[in-house]
Amino acid sequence: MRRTVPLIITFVAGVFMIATFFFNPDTWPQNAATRVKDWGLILATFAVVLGTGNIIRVSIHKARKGEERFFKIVLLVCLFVTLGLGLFLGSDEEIRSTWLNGGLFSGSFNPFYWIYQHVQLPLGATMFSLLVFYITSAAYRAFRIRSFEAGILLATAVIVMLGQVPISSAIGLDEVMAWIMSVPNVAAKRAIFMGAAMGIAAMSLKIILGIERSYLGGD
Amino acid sequence: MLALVLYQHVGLWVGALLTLAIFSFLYKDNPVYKFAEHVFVGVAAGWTVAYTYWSAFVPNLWTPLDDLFHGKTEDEEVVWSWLLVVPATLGLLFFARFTQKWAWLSRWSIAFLVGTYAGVNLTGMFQTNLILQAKATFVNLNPNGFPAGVNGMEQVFLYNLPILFGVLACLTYFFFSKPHAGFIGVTARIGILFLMAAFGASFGYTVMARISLFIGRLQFLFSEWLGQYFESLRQLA
Repeated sequence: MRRTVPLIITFVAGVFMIATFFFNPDTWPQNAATRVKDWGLILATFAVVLGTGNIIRVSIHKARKGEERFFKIVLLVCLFVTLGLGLFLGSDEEIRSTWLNGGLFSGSFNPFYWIYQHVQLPLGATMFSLLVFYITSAAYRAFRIRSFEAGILLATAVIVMLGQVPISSAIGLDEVMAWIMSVPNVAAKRAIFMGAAMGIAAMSLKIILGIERSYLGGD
Repeated sequence: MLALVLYQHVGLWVGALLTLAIFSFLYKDNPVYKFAEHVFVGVAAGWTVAYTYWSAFVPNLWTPLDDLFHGKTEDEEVVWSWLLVVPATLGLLFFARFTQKWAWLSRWSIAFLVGTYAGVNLTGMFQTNLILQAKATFVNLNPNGFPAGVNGMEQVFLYNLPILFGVLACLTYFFFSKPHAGFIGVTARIGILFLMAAFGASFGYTVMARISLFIGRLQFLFSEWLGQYFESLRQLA
């Protein structure tokens, strides 16, 4: 029950999805495959709740032990306030369609969207922008020319960086950058994709056949 | 009126102070940064659950089941609506992880997800990342075989031939069944050069994307936040 049933579920689900691939669109196996993929979305919803539940559990545990108690309480308050507002006010169709289009909401005042626009967006953007300082120091280490290959890395990185600033068109760097992006970059990425595809296919086959079982954990 | 004030001013101040709190990490790890960091984690987690609830749970599970129990489901959808009990049950089994005795039940849900996406990836990845990429690599190498107005020589020697050769060279580098010596060694070395060029390009692009985000935050601070007050002062003067 503990290990055999999951292996059977994996095998049946995997073989079913592979088999449906060989049917024409709009046939019942293809429609069934689409439905089963939608079930994956439903399961992902539960997984998100599980993950958030884990954050809550760990935060409460740490707060009780007195480890960064104030910050853990801040985290929990922010989580529950946002979640509560989201569950009550997040059904607004206009807000959701605006999110999906990546635009800014201009309708009536909604506290859930206010949190999203004035807390989450600035914090997320600043967190990622902070990386510019660390990536610069990483660049210094990566770009020190110690070999011909490192020289190629440095040259392409510099051209791509300069190729995106306005002055690049005056010195013709934008065309060089476009060539780098569409020729050596495409060639290397294509080879990586092909290798990755073969690796993923092999790993998928191992999972479906029950050879790879690490996803089941211990015991 | 209150809503307008919240939207325009309090929102700007909150966004600006949180931005400065995050930037304070550049000095060193400090309580102000920690506060902003925990606010971010809390808000992001709450927002993700709420958004997933409204965009995935309600349309895919709640509404079809609600319609089914209220007799609003169309005849051809009834069987599929009943079958939604399967993902709902598997989803609930995830929470068995919170108990030691029944934690193993959550493997059923994981097994279903892993099996489904292994099956999808096996065929999908082969088609998109292998067959289609290989097909796109075998391009026209005849300079006279291009439509009028296209410089065939330039297209072949500047674009098509380097792409074909580059892909083959990189694949040779990834081929470990033969020792990288002689012709294979030289080809693999050229493959490394293509790979280094691609990594350099990706690195350059990432740096510029981060710089762009940083400039965006500075524009927010100096233009949207402080800018409005400078503008008011300028108008008063």
